[in-house]
Amino acid sequence: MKKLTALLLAVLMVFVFSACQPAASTAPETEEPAPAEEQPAAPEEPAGEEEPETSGGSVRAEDLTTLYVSPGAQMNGDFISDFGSNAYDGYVRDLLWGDVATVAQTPAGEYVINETVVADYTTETDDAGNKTYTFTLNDGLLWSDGEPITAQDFVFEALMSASPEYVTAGASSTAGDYLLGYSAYHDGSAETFEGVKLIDDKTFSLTIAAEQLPYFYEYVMVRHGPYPMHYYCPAATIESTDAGAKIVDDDLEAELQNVAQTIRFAPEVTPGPYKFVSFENQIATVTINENFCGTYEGKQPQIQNVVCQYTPGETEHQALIAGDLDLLPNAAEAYKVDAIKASENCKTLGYLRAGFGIINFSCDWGPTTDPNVRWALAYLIDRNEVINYAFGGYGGIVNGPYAYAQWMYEEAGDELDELLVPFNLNVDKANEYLDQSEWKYESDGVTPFDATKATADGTYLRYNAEGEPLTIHHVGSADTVVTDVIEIQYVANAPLAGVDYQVTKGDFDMLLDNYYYGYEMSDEDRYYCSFNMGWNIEPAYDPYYSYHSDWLNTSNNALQISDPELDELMIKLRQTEPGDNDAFIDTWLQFEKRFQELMPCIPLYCNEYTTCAYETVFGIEAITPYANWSNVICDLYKAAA
Amino acid sequence: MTRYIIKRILILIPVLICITIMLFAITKIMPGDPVRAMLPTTLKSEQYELAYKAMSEKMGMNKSLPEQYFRWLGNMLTGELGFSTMYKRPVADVIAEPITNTVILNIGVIIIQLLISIPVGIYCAVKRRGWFDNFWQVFSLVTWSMPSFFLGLCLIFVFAVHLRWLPLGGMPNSALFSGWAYVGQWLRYLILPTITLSLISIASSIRIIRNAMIDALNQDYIRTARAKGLREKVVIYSHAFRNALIPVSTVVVGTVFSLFAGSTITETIFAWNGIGKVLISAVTGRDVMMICSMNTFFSLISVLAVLVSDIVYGLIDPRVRLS
Repeated sequence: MKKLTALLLAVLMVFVFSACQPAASTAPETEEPAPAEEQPAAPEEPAGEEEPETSGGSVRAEDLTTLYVSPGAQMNGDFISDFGSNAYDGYVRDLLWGDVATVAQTPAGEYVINETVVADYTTETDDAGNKTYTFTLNDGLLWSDGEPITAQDFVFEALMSASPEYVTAGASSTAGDYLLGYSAYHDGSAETFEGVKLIDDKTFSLTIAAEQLPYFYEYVMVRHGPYPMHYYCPAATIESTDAGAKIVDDDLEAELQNVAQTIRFAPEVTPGPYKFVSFENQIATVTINENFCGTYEGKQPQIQNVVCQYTPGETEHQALIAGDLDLLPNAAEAYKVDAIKASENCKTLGYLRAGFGIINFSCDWGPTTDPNVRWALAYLIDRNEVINYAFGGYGGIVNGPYAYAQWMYEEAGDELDELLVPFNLNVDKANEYLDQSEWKYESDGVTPFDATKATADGTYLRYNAEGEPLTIHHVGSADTVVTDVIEIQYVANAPLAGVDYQVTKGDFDMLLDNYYYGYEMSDEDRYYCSFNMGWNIEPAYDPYYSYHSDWLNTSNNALQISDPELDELMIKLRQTEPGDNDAFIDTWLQFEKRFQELMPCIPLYCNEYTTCAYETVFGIEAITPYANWSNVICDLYKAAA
Repeated sequence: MTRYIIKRILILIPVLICITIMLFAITKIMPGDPVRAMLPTTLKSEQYELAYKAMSEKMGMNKSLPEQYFRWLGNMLTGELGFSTMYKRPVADVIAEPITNTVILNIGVIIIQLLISIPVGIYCAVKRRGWFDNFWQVFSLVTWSMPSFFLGLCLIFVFAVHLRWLPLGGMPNSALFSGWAYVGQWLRYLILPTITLSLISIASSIRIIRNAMIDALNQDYIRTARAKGLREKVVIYSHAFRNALIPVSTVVVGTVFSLFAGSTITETIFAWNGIGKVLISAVTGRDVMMICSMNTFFSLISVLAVLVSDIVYGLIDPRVRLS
């Protein structure tokens, strides 16, 4: 019996240990960086015409007609953007809808008139200061079902997105909110949308309200794409007069309910580079749209099918190495990137993300109301350690709300770096700031706090005159190692400055609830004043909606920051004349400086994203932090390695 | 017997009502606003107010709590399981596909489990302390002690990463495969999660069946049967196994009703779009209506399993219904 037991256990151990060997062990071990990938010749024929091969190895790796992509997490299946904010659905949405709009976004994050869509446009400003863009569409624009895309479809999109019926159907859209008459049309008090007009089948106009102008990113205000009116609302017509346009349709409400309940999960008529095939079991499959008009540069997709398939985060890099996946966009974890770089059959492209990681503070409640406390906390964390711990060193430090990918940083990064204080862990500095705050006493509320008595065990804390200890209640998502390293750092460093820093790890929704809606809570219910999260920066950088005092007591200004100087700079920034880049940069530098002085959040890092591809995929070098996925897909192709 | 069954059913009705009240109360106590969860944070304040009001009406959240409860209960009885805040669509639509996948996966697991564990359990009891019994004892001890995620990951590393015979996880795609190729894809994706779940479940059921059979084989009537000169097969299957059926029926009934219960960890590891994975996503995403509806559904299944077990006990052992 004993021999048999021993034998069985030995067999089991061999099995377990062989199973736990790293897969990448077959790759040559080297500390040198992976060799730069060679640019292969473009395939002579479109890969899409080849039949998939299924013999031997991974079926997927050898299938040159289909690109298998991991969206990074589970999709919800919302393929019309107004019904859900799941970013992972975006991988499919972008392919279906593309950048078929009046204005396109370039890989550098610039906005340009989309000449593939727009044949001509004119602008006119009336006496009241309202500015009208009149667009004439190119011939030959088609929906995926072959029907022509007309000016009616563009007008329909603006009207439908802003209509109260769309809100009733459960949609939430901000489209058109810069246009004249938006509020009255959106809340149902006006029948027509004054800023939208249909001129003929090829021509329509959009009028920006005078109070929104000037605006640096003016093109964004008229960036509208088409919705398929013949598919969504077959009975509808557009009635357009000098007073504006409206949708005439007796069944509008019912038809929009149909959009909300059925079409949004399987939109069969779309204008983008791909058209919908199926979404089942977390697998979305799309195939080439032969009627696609092309990207703003006129490019067409080359890969016949794209499959976006949920793959567990823990094994997605192994799936790529094994050839089960072709593309793993935006990998951030160092262990995955290192394993992929070590494999012989994959290639990578790294770039610093268009965003950053931060610790946000409630500036209206708790100890973090005081900028001295916020600055002290900034000096109690080693941000290099955060990057090393959380991202294996793949990233850089930022000192304000900016990203390295922003055009302003590319042009004036050196100037900004000189302007901002490069703070890092410094307990003495933290104590200096705290001595200027109300938390400068010992527990009796009278005796001045003596920093030399503070120890790492946290028994000697700071108190205010009322005898309240300086306690920071921080909440972070349990799903990210960034929360772990923040806890490690503050548990070690905060007591040295007399701060009791308590970290709670919760689910992401709980974090967002407390962050965005803390201002609604009573003092008894409110508990957290510090939150760690990631933050993406849109190419059209407008901090007004996030930090301006116009948005106090709303979730837009979640930090509840209010500063007249900062307000003024944000208004000045957005009201810079379009094209006056130098003026924009000057104001942006002042804004960043003032923002740092107030320290409403601690910018921690700008981490690196790595797009990883299997060896049969080419063209990933077109990817940039601001590249539009629907444009990137047209640069990718598959060929035998 | 009919009286016995009616009595059991009547007892279950208040149990179910209590469960629904408790679950509904829990959803109301849970932090967070389900209406807010439906709306994007990018809306500007006036847009947010309009959208909030419309969504609140749509979800029935503007009604009083008793109204909400009875509305929810009435909807549940008619098969309307509510609206998922995470998926932003009816719960019934969200779970239809995963529950089918879970049933498909579990059918394979149950077939393997019953086909292996019943004969092996009986044979182990009959040949107690022989090499066959010892092997399965060690096997069941090791696999029963092993967490399913560990076993699953080991299988992934061996068969998907090293040997590359099978995919790491996922589901077949009907858009790219059809006919037998599609069936083949199903089998490829099913193999690893089925083996993982089967190994774990076989371990426990073998032990239960073996012990029940050993108890039965030690009874006096078995000795009497053997003394009468009955063939050993008759002794084992007609006398011993029939009397060992009560604990065995618990395993079988429990297994059949577990068809709908997803295995959260295994489904997550293998990216199998099953109900367990959906439930864990709902919990982490605080999808209140999804959690509530699914728990009610699982409670109903559990209660039915208990009812069927009771009826089966009554059928197998007349003493149970007489008492």
